[in-house]
Order: sequence, then C-alpha cells, then structure tokens
Amino acid sequence: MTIPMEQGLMIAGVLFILGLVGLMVRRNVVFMLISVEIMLNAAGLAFVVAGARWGAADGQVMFLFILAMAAAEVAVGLALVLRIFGQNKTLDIDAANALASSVSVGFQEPAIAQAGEPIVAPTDAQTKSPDESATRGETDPC
Amino acid sequence: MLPVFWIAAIVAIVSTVMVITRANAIHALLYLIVSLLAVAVMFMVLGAPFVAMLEIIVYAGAIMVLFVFVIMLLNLGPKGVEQERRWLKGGVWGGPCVLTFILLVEVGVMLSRSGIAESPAIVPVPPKEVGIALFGPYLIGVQLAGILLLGGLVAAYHIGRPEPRDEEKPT
Repeated sequence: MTIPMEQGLMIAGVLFILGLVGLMVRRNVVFMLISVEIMLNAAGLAFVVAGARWGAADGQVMFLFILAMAAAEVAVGLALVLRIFGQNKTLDIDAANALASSVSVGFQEPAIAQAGEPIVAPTDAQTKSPDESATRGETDPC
Repeated sequence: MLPVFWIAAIVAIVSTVMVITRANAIHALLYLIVSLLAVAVMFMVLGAPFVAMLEIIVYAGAIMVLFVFVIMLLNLGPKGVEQERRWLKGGVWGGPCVLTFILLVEVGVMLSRSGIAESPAIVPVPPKEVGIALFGPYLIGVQLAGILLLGGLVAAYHIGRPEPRDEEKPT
C-alpha cells in the first residue's frame, strides 16, 4: 500500500477532533452545526479509507449513508436555527434555555435538599414557569 | 501518490482549523468548502472517484447552499448590506483561493499522469461496483435512507413553518 491505512485514519481522527473542539468551543448555533458536519465528514473519510484498504465498495456505501444522514440532519438543524433565532433574536445557544425553568430563576439548586417544605419548592417552580413562557411569548414580535 | 495525498490532507486540516476559528460565518463556510474539496481530492487518491464526486456535489454543493441560505436569512437589513459591501472589496477570499489553487494543481498533476489507474497499489473501486453493492446487500439501507430523508423533509417543513399567531390573538 502506498497509503497506509493508519495515516488515513489518523487524518480522519484529526479532522474529527477539530470538529469536536469546534463544537465545544463555539456557542453560535450555526458554527455548532458546521462542526457537526466536519465530524460527520471525518467519519465518512474513515469509512472510505478502510474501504480502500480492502478494495471493497462497502466503505463507499457507508459514506453514501452518512451523506444522506448529514443532509437530513442539516435540514432539520437549520430549521431549528431559524426557529431559535426567531424566538430569541440571537444565535447564542446559551439563550435557548427555555426548558430549564430553574436556571432563569437564578440558578438555585433544586430545593430537594432543603429540610423545610420539599413539596412547595417544586410547585413554586411550576407556578413560575408559565409566567416566564407568557412573557417570552409577549416579547416575541413575530 | 503519497505526496498528493499528504498535501491534500494538510490543506484539509489547515482549512478546518480556519473554519473553527473564524468569527464570521460566511468566512467559515468558505474555508469549509475548501476542506470538503480537499477531502474529495483525498477520495480520488484513495481510488473512490464516485464518492469524491458526491462529496463535491452534495456536501460542497447542496448542504453548503443550505447554510448560505440560512446565514443570509439571518442578517437582513442595513447592517447586512454594509457587510456585503465590505465582503466585496476585502481580500476575504484570498486564503481559500490559495488553498483551492493547491488542490487544483494536484488534480492537474493526477490527471496529466492519469495517476488514478496507474497507481500500483491502490485498487480503484468504480461506481459500478458501488452501485451493485448499494442495491444488492445494502438495499434495506437504501430504503431506510429514503425514509430518513422523508422524515427530515417533513420535520424541516413542520419546524420551519411560521407560527400561526393570527389564530391565537383574537381569542
């Protein structure tokens, strides 16, 4: 082999790690999607390198499946990006924390450890979350 | 073929590093396209011409166009116009052009030597074999990919649909 499989797999690993670093470092949703694309592409490269090592078509077939999956993923992901931008007016992924009701209240620990009323605290959080969603809906201009 | 492969690999890694360090999304997309082209050259060297073409057509063509559409949708307004003006005169495309020129020279060298078939150890897998494998033992995978794409289409349409605010306001 003029191109050993180890070198090709090493390059695929480097590209995958670069994509992973980008996914962890960036907080922009579009950049996170781009990093996911880099990682998928690196995985496909690993498949094609392994397929070329044995002269088989299976690696290329797997790359085609990865390609179809990446296309479907990026379509759904970009639709989600548009929806996040319409709701929050920003692409910061940290702003999309509507599911974490205790975070926006002020990062209090869940009051389960409190010795006093353990039942009142969750109901308090539950009564606060509809207000929050209502205000969020009002501030949304579209 | 080894230097061609390594130059393409270095181009891919450098452009990928540039992708994850750019502040502007369009600049990152330019370098990402260069990275995908470099990976396509690596596929050519590895004897997978069909996959190399699909990498260019589907990844660098269709998926990147989706990204560009969304980024252009997101910064509308006078700020976006000013940004466009800056992009037109700036030397933003200098780095991607240099890297792509390296890849072009590589492909030219490969084609002038008719290098893919002449390479002693790499056995190229022609598209015919890929098609036979795809519609033979992997037929169920093709059908599942079709179902996945249909699901993605329906989900993207459902999520990207504008919210029916008008029905909520009168109540």
